[in-house]
Amino acid sequence: MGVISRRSIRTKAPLAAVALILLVVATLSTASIVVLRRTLRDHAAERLRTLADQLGETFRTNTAALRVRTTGIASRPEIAAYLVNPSAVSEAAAIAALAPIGPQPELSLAIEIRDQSGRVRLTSPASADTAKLIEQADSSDLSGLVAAASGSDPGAALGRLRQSGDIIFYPTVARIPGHADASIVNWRRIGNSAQARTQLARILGSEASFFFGNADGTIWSELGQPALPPAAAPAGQVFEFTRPGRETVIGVRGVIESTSWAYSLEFPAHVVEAPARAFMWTMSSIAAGCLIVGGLAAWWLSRRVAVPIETLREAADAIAAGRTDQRVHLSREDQLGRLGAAFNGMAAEVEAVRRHLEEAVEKRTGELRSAQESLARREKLALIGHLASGVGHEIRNPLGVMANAVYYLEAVQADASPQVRQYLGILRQQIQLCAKIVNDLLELSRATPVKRERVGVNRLVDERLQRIESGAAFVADIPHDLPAVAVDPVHAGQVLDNLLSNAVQAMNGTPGTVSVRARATGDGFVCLEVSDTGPGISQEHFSKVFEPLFTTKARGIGLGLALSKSLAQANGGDLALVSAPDQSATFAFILPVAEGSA
Amino acid sequence: MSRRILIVDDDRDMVRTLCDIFSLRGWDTDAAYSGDEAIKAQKTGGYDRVLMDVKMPGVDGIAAYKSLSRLFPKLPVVLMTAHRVADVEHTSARVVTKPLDLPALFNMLEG
Repeated sequence: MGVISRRSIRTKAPLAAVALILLVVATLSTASIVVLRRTLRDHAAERLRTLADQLGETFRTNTAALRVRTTGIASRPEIAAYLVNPSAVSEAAAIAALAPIGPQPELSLAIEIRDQSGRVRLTSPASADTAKLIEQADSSDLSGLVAAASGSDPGAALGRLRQSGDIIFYPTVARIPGHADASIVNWRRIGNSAQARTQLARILGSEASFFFGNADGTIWSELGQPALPPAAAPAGQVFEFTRPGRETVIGVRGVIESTSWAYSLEFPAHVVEAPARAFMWTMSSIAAGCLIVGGLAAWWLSRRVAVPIETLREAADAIAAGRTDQRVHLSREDQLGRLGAAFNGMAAEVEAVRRHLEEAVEKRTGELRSAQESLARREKLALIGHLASGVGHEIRNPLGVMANAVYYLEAVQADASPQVRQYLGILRQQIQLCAKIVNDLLELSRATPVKRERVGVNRLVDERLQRIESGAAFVADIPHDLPAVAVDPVHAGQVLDNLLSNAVQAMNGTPGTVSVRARATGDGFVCLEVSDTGPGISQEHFSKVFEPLFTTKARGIGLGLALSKSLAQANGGDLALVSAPDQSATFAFILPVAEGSA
Repeated sequence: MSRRILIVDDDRDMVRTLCDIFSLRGWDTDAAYSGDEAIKAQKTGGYDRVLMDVKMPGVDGIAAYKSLSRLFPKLPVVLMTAHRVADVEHTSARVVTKPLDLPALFNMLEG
């Protein structure tokens, strides 16, 4: 049963439906998510580029302002005066002039005057830590910056970022006008104040990260805090990057004009793709709903289909097993209902054909059995006839001698005592009786060829009735318009004689009537019925009456009815017992109607 | 002079009873027990009538009758048979069946 249900439509259809729904939803979801992700990334990249451009512009403006401010410091007369005439007075004035100007003065570390060889000639007041920081800072690029500042418009240039501990700082170098041997170096640090963060968040949004550092990849920071540089990528191109221990980001790089700095603006990928994930969850919920609803619908539909099919299959099995009265009851109007009706029609046809076949087989079997019985009876009769003929003829000789002897004795003993004469009479009668029995036997068993001719049933019956010697009453009912029959008159006479004498004997000497009735059967035969008013044939003997050597008579060898049936059949007719057991017997002698007499 | 009859049958009891019966009726009777004997007896004896059985060993009644009717065309011969009269074919002889209907036989032979 498990195997059958695994293979049944009831299981397969819902599974197939669920699989199909799953496939469709998965395909659609995957395609949608891929498109959505790409769109989201494109959108994020666009936003990054726009923001990066804005930031780049801000940086350019700010650095340009810084350069201008540094140039402004370099142009102060106190500094030129000090360089022309270094003295304690001019030195003090120059140090005072080395004060920062512009916004965020707290980010200024120190402002120095350096000579051509890079030696610090004068510096603004600074803490010991700051002085040490600057003293240890790399100053190898400063002479290059002096040259760069000379060729630029504001006359100042920004140096590369430097790092010391958590502090990231940089120099801005400006030429001092009129003094080619000295320059101003303005050291500032990168701010990491909460205010700066808030400002940036306002511009970029809370999820965005901003990094900047040297374009060559060294010294990168995130809002003043040292950080790993982003992936190397051309400016303006979106990249995807994962820092160790941090989430994957989507970012874009930019360079800050007139500096050796670069920056990177980044969004966490998961923030960018959040709508895609939300969409995926929505799609998953819809898919689950579709699966449940679709699966249930498929299960219900397949049940609607599979149950009638199962019913039909069971009915077909039943019919195959021989129960052809099996029908299906599908009370529905659809194709399955019509299939059920067609099945019932077919089953009815099968049943009808089967019944017809059974009847035909039964009929043929009956005919075969009858033919077999007829043949067996004829063979038995032929054997008995042969034996009877031989024995009968042999017995006639001794009977003849005995008859002669009795005749002689009666002739020569005419004067004998009455008793002797009486006994001789008994002998003579018994010898005559014996001779008659032998004659009858020989007559019965004599096989003569059938010579059929056209005979009137009336004539046949009348001739036989006249020859009967009996005290019984005879009634004959033979219609005058009865068709003539085609039989051997001798054979038909023999059969009738036998039936009539049996009828007389059946009444066992009591008063009774023997009736002979004839009628046309309508299918080419005449039925001649011989009935008596005797006690009939018992159930026990009923089936044996036509068997050779079967008899219930005290005297008789049981050949009469067997021979009569054989003769009737040899003449194209039949002989049958038509009354019920234990009721007065009626035998039907069937004779074929002569051609042209119907 | 009484008439003479030859009675032929291989059954000696049959021959004897018939001889006695015919003697009673005044016939001179003689007996023969085969076809051959019957022909010889008729040649030497010249009987008026012959009553002969059909079925006998050796020359049977039919063959003997044919010889006798050739030799003695006017000799009345009656054949006896245990079978039916119709079964005794190819003869112009009169045939009676056994057991014999003696009054009828007397009519046939004495008439």
